[in-house]
Amino acid sequence: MKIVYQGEVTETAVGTVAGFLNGRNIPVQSVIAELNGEICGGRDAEMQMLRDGDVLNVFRIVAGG
Amino acid sequence: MTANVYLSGEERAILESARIGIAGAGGLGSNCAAHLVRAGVRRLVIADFDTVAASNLNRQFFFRDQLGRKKIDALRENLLRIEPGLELEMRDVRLDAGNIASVFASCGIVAEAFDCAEAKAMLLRELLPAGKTVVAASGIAGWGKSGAITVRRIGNNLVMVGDFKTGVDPAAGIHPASPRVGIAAAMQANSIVALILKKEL
Repeated sequence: MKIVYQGEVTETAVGTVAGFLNGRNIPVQSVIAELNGEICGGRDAEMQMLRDGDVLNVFRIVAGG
Repeated sequence: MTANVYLSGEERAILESARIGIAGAGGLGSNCAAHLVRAGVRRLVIADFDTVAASNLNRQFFFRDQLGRKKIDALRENLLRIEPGLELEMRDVRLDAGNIASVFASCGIVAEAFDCAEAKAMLLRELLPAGKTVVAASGIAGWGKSGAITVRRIGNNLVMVGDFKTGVDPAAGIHPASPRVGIAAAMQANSIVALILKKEL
């Protein structure tokens, strides 16, 4: 199936948001994930299955302040 | 009274009635607070446990004669020099998952102003599901690339500023410094004022 990830159409296998991110070496706790305009973090990201056409954006949380 | 003589009566009333939380009084928090006060915000809840160190003076709204003092005390003093009529609730506390919601219970909007990535994530994890509006920052270290720092509305109740990439990395020589941290702090304050006044971010 295809999702739009970071603005680009991306082919991916069926799985969860956290699984998709883990496959890209992105620990879900190190980012804010936005799925179809809603924040999807923590347990939600572990449970939420991606569907064809989903729009997923992630924003890295890095140190500095 | 507020520090901003250019406000309309309506804007003044709206800004004066808002109560804004600031989690951390370092580079982001101290400068964001000063911008908010100058803009016309009068009520702030600011939490920090730390003292002013020499390494803070490259970016934080403190002065050399305040070294060693509690940041909340020094910041209170500095903000009151801008506007004596402020209502400041300064909390000497290390914020964590167990206390952050109660510290900011009276605030509709909270600025995330930590330096540590884990603390930033903790705040988002605790306050967003509770429906609090959070204005956070990520990716503000180093020099240059001013235009890479953007404001993003994420979901219903999160605004983030930063480039989401450039974190503090001492081994790589990437440190927080006044220009970029200041840009981000100003963007956080600007976003908060826009949210309060229901303007475009």
